[in-house]
Amino acid sequence: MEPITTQEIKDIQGFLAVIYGDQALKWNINLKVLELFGELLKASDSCSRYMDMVPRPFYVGNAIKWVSKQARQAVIRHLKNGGKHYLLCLRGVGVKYKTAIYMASLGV
Amino acid sequence: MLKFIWLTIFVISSSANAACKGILYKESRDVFSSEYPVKEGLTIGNTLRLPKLIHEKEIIVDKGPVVIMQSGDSYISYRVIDKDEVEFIGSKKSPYNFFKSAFTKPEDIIECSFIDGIRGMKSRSYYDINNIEFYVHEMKESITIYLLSTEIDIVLEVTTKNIPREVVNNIMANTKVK
Repeated sequence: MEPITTQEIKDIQGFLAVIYGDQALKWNINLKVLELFGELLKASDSCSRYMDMVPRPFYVGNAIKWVSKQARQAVIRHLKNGGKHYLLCLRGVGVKYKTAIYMASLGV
Repeated sequence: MLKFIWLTIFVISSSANAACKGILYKESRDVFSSEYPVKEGLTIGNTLRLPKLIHEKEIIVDKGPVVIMQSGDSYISYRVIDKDEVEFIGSKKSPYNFFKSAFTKPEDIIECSFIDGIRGMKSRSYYDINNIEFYVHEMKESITIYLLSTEIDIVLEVTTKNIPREVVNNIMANTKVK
C-alpha cells in the first residue's frame, strides 16, 4: 500500500467530521477506516443525486482501491469539489457506520 | 428458573407515502429463554438495563458514548444515540420517532439515507418485548440491534461480532426499562 500522507489523513478526517462532527478529527485513519468510508460513500442511493461516484478505474469490483494513492486522491478531489451537500446527506447512513468506523480507528 | 418468552415478529412495510422504499422485517416466531442468570449488567442513562454477555478483559469507553467490551475476536459495543445526534444528522424528531419512522415509513432524505445503510443487511427481524422494540440486523458474524422505547429518550445501538445469536437473544429477553 502506498503510505497515506498527512494531508490525506487530514482530508479524510475532515470529510468524516462533516458526517460525524469534530470528534472525527481525532480518529486514526487506517486502511480499514478507508474501506468503511468507501462503503459509506456507496451505501446511500438516496444521496447519490448529490454526487456521482468516483470513476470506475479506481474501483476493484465494488470497492474503491484505497491502497492506491491515485485512487485516494481521486476520491478526495471529488469530495472537495462540491461534495459538501453529499457528505451532509450521508449523515443519515453514517449513523449505521459510526460504530464500525470508530472501532476500526481504534484498531479493534 | 426457566422462563420462556414468546415473541411475535411483525412484518413492516413501507406505505405509498414514504419518501423512499421502506424495508421488510421477517415474519417468524421464536422462543427465547432467559435461563441464564443475569447478575451482571450494564445500565444506560439510569433507564435501560442490559445483561453483560462476555467477561471482557478490557472495557473501552469514549464520547458518544460508546462502550466496547472485547474478548479475543469477540466484542459487543453499546452506543447511545441521543437527541443531539439526531439533530446533528438533520432531523428534529426525537430519537424514538426518527428511528421508528425510518424503519417503518421513511419520510425524508435523512431517514432514507439511514435506511439505505440497513438495506444490505441480509437478515432483519423485529421484536417487541417488555415495551422495548428491537430491530435486529445480521450480516455474517456481526449483529446490529437498535433498541427503541417510547419510555426512554435515547436509542441504543448494540453491535456484536462473533457472539452466537442465541446468546444475543439473551439481551432481548433480559433488557428492561427501569
